[in-house]
Amino acid sequence: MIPVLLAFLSISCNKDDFNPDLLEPTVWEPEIAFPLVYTEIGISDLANVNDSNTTIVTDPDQFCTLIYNGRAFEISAAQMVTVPNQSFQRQYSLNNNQILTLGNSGQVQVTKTHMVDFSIPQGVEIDTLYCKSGSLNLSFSSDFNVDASVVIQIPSLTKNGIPYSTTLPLDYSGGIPVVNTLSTPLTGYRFDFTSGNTSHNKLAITYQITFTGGAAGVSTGNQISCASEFDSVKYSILYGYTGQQSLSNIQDSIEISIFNNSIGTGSFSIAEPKIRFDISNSLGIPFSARLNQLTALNGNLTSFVVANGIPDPLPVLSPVVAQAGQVLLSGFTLDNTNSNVVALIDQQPKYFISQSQVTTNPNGRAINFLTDTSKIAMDVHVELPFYGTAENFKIKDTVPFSYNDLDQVEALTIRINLENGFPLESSIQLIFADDSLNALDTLFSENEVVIASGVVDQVTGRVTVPGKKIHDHVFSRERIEKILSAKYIYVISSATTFNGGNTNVKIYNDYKLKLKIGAIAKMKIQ
Amino acid sequence: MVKYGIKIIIISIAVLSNIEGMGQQLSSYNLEYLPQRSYLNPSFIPHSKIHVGIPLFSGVSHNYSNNGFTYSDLIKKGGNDSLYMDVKNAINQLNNSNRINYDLEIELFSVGFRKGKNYFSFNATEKAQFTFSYSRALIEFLYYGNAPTAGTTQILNPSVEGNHYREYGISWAREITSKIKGGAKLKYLYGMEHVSSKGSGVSIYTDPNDFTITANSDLMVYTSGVDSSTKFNNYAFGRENKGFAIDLGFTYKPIQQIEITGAALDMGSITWKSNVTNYSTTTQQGSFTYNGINLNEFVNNDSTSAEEYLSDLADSLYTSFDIQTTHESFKQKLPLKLYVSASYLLTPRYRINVVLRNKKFDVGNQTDYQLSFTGKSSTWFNYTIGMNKINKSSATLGGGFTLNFKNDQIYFVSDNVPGLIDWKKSNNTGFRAGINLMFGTKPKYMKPPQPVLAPAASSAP
Repeated sequence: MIPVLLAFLSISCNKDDFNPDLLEPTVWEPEIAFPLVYTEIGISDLANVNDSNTTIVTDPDQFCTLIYNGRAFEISAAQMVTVPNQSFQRQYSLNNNQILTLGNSGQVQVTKTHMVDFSIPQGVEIDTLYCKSGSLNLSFSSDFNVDASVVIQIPSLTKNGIPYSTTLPLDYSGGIPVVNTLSTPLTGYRFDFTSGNTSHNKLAITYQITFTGGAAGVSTGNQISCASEFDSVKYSILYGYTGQQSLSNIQDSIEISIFNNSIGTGSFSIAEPKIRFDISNSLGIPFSARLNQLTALNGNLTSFVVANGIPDPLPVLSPVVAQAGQVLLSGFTLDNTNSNVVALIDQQPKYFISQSQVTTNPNGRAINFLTDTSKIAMDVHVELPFYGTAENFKIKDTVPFSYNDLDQVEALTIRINLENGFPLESSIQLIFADDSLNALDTLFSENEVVIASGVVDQVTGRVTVPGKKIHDHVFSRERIEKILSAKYIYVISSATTFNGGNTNVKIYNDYKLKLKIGAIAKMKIQ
Repeated sequence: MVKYGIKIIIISIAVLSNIEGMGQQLSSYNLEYLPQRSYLNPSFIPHSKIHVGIPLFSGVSHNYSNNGFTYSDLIKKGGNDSLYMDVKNAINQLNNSNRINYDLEIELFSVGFRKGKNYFSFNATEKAQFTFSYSRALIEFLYYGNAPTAGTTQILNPSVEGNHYREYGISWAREITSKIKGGAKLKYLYGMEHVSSKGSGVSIYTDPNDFTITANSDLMVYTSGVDSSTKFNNYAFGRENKGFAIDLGFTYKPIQQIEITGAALDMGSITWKSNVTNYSTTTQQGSFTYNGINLNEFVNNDSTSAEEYLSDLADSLYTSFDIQTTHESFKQKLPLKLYVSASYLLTPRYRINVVLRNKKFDVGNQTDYQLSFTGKSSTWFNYTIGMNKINKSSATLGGGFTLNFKNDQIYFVSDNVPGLIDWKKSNNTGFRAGINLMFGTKPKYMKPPQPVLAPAASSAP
């Protein structure tokens, strides 16, 4: 029995039966199915709403209107009237009699009043100015060898009814010149530039100088220099007359992002577009405003349509003195009844460009007023209610592409699952291109309907059955290699609304395009 | 001494070669002269008055069973004597549910003696059992991927149950009547390593249209001692994993030609306390669904990078599956084994047997069958040969013998004798072998009755 047992064991124990060194590499070829991405695309995504100037307004029925906002012009009070820094300088001396009086009585007083003229650009005439900020800087220098004291008085510069007055001592202590400076904040002061209702931009300043001491060493050649500067004066409210200023060629543009990638083929029509102009004005100045031109410009800036139906002049309201601080609103709307706005949108414009002109006091002199925050502005709102048609409306985009993580993939099946709640069908072509933009591979044929339209109920006008499609695309290893070498993807898409683009359809906010992309990767792993 | 040396060499080769063998060989159930037979039914009484198992060599058994595929199904010869793995062929052989069993037993010491109608014995045995159940769906899913089964729910419910423990057993068998024998064995268990899983497992559904993956998990894995390294002394004797178990058995001989036996083994458990780490995962809110990358979140959120998005996704996955790690002690039953047999005694030395064995695991049962013929000499030789159907695999030819010398015995049993030679094509393979010292096996010499001569008649003159 022992030999038999040994035989069993020797056979069983043969270690050469399995030698890992002899084992050939094993190829594992699993097929992995996995979801790649999913998304739900609403009208805001399709309309490319991605900046603060674009909004989608939804009414209670969920009907959507796309609105692009722009500002044709804006003129602020600071642009109309500014007060530059104003500097004034005077020198004062004593005559012989005054020197004699000083020698006899030990004191002599001199008083001088000067009318200063504020220099304001643009011919602006200021009557009254309430100061928001700024300062009055005084600087005095004396080469007299006696003590002096200067009282500065500005009767037309008042705060709470009290005229401005201040005293600067110039005490002689053995050395000359004797210098003294003073800076006074002007916040809350009221400037009366009328010189007693007789003039504009004028202000009287009085200097009262008192010398104390003996006359020894004092001559008529000695003098006191007085320098005054109104620095950085800003107004909270200003009355006067701003003159007939004219601001022309004020240009602005509004980007219509829905047409950003449009290549201008096919048709895209909005049945009831509007361009609304909102004018707001809080400047107490009569204006004459014109919108010289409103142009819809296509993407390559080669074609444009000029809007008509724009009122001339624009209806601008200006507040009277009693309405100071109020903003008066006015405006007008271009629609398909009073303008060619439909034709403008049919152009698939990428930009609306406006050119405006504004003139103040068109009828001559008037009482004007400005607050520091007042301004006049005109906002332009391009309103595109999603009610219309599209037929073969094409867009094109190029996106950079880079992917290289498919080394172990032998074949790849991409499954695209689409459920479309919009009443439009679309064809999409994805073209993979190399560095030189040469096409390497194409996904979907040129006119293949990739996204099926939802079915519209004729009574309600709403989509009741979403359009569904599943697309499978098989990529062999050879095709994968081509795609991996691609650097760009062209996306060319065209859209046609329900019923071949012959019936106006409405787009509602609850319409969604559901996209799911999955893949089956046939792997080859060693 | 030479004889003992040969026996030791044989057993050493068996142990050191790590050859395939059968833990509790079914064929040993009918070897009446084998003392270790009482491990399968404590009512079995050895034919010797005393037996002593030689430490480490009295019983070594080793079993491997995989009813899914054989070595030859998986490893094939290519050109230039190279080998390659034919995984597809192996998968084709799989049943819907499959099980790999691995058992290893080394008897450290055993002793027993007869006292009247009683037989008392003691044993210390190192035991390791490992069972891995796996479905064909699991292997196909792993190998072929999820695409071929998209649209169907794949229930991936692998289960594992493994124990390594030492058994100290005291057994008592008694001839209750001339027809009935009974036996019981009380076992103290010292656990060293454990791993087991519970729960319905993991299910995965791949949507056939958009490939959305929906997964559920309900899986707990209990471990003790598998992730620790300790000194041998602490490992072998210092762990806190203790338990008890009982074996019960009977033998009933209603008539001279019929013998019916039954036994229930390993009725008990071990409380695992040392180096415990338990893992659990249960999907929150019913299931986890992966739809792919949400472009709305990813593209429109400038603050989210690709890495952050994937990190968030991993966090979400971790949270959804609620993966928990704990270190609480736990109690685990041993796999219960039931034996039932019926024998017809053709003569007192030859019998035909039918044996059924059922193992109850945490997940599922395994029932094995045997039809065998057993013969024995008066004292020196006992053998069996039979057909075994084990672990739902093809029937195999088993056999075994005990060879008794004056005061010692060698034995060898295998449920798949051809499988020892051609193990590459066998689902089951293994054996049990050992050396015992046996005393009191020979019947007492009976002096035949001597004729009594009548006294010679005396003649009187």
